[in-house]
Amino acid sequence: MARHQQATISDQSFNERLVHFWQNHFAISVEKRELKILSSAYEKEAIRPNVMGSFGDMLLAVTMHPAMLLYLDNYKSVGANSKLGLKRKKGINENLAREILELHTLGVDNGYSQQDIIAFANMLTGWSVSVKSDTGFIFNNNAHENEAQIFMQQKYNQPKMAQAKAALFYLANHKNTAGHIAKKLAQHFAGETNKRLTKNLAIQLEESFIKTGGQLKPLYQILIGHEACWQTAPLRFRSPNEWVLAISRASQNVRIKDKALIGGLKNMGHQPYFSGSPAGWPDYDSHWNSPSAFVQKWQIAKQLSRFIKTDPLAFAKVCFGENIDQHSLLAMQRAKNLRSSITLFLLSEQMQYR
Amino acid sequence: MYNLAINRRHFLKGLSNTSAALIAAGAFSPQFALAKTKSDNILIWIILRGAWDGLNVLVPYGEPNYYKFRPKLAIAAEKLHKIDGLFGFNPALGELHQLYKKNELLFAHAIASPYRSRSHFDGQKILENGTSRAGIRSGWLNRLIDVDKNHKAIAIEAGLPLILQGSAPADSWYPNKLNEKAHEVNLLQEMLANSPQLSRNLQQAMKIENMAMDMAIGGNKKATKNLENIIKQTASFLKSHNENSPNIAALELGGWDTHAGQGTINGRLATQLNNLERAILSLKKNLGSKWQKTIIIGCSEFGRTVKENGTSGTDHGTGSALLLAGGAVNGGQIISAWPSLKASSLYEGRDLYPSMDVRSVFKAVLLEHLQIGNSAVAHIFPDSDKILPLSNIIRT
Repeated sequence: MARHQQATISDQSFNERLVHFWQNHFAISVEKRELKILSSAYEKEAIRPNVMGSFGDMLLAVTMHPAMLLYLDNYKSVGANSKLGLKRKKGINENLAREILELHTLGVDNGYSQQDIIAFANMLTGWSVSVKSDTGFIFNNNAHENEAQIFMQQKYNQPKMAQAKAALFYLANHKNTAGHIAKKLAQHFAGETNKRLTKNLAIQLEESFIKTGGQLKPLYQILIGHEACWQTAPLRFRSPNEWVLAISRASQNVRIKDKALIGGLKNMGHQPYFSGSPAGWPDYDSHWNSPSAFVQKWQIAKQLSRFIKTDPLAFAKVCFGENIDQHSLLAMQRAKNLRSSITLFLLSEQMQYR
Repeated sequence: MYNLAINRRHFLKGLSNTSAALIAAGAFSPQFALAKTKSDNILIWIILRGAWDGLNVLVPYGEPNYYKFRPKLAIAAEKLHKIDGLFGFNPALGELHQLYKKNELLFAHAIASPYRSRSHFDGQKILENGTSRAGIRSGWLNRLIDVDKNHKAIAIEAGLPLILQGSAPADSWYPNKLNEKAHEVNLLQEMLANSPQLSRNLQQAMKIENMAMDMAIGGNKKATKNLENIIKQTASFLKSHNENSPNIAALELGGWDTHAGQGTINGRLATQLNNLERAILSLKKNLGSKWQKTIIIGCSEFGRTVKENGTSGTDHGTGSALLLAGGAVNGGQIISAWPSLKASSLYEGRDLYPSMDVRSVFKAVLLEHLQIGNSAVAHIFPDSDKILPLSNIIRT
């Protein structure tokens, strides 16, 4: 799996983590068959180039990407008074507009009304897909509701695509968006171990977001420098994807076969692009850290132990150096065989938390 | 009364033994120890992996500081099986207290191996290799059976523990029924014991899977059966008249690493102590008349902090307690150069000061119980001339 491999061999692991974060923020889920072939293109074209750029650029790239337009049905949203709407008596589909407001920008019930969703959906009519276009995106003027809209107390009377672009720009710079993104980033990196510090981190991120108009690099600088991310206690329970990545990244002696990898992630309920919801996967420890998940992970650990062809104790030391937890080493040393020893290590607290 | 003066007597008596040893040391060579007859005397080594909290095993209730440093974990004086004005047995050790009264059990307290850091890993290595360096890869019981062919040893463990690793061949045995998964459950339990969420997950998962720690040496009925099984088998090895059968057995009991939720009269430590007590009583029962010729050594790699920590547990410390049990023990005494729990007396300001070396006990057991020569003992515990064997702890 290319995505896993890229994150494994990359010498910019922080960058890869951010890619995964933003991919989950702007989640697409590929239960719809036609989306499968687009999923990795989506990450490559809409997410990756913008991870070090601005939030507004990423929001626009995501909204214009055929994968998102297909996933949230905008390709079939037609303005009621557009040429196509009048001819075929078709109307708007609110799905994309609603999720942009609720999930991608402002946050749920955070400053918009049902009227605003409709107005925004009208502006987005005509944003569609076509195989004739290089990017897969087309603006279909025939489906566009070519009328002025009142959206969040402002009038939008720009022509064609410019109208929804203006709304996206407004949303990308809104203080509620800043707050929403800041909270998600703070939770993703710092978690709930020290709620006071995490809250303080979120406030700093929000201020920076507002000040810079959604520039992302300054946010990452705050993350790296903030006390909340430098606690000695583990901050987060690793999601299955993070856990598997941590294993793969640990050593060049680890070569997990694609089939085992995907099968494992599937069994742990974390198959890439299969979150089953535009909200992506929940980013709280409690979602992943449960007895039944433990049993699943135990089985996967046994399977993955096969691909770690190195001395278990040496492997553990490669991962954590002098900081290796001695309780893990003790248990590993007493395991009945090498695979059991590796299995124990993969289930150690240090491997399961970050 | 547990002052240095009393203890000095032990050491001085020991000294007279070893001065001979020092003279003989130069003449030592392994060839002297050719197999003649198998020793009749039994040694059972039980390593309590994870570092048991000696201060809550043999409790120094006469020390006001004990209560001061352990507001949550201290055990009330009236609950203890008191033996004098200073010490009392943990309430979970009622039966062992009876053995003590029958002079079949003693404790050495404020004792430690030469290891002075706080890694289980290195601490156990040093306890088992019998040196002061973690890197030595042969165990002291292995050197023992190597130099004195009158002794044979078996490890009751899935693998061969360091104490029996080395150039001499040693056997090991473990019940087959305890398959890999069961063994893994045990190890996972120990490994994750201090991660509240993960250990809860594991326990819950085991319940759900209806494995419910069946195979684990935990607190339930089936687990008891397993421990009984292991002990029974161990005893039958030791009792066997076969000339190749062992007279030395090495066992382990893990799970003493109580960083969190240690408990007082109930809880993790009490459960552990119950298991240990059951193991010792079961050994006595199954060894029958051989009990009179038996010494059991029970000890840990180190002790735990005098002060309790913030998670109702204790962290890695230094001085701890060591137990000897068996019909061949000159029991009914506490051996200690008790250092007190005054803040200024604590080792590095946090641990029970280690005023004795475990090798002074091991050497006495080897010399007087297993009748191993002085020069062989010097070979088994190298570079420890200054550690003199205790006297008076073996019944003669």
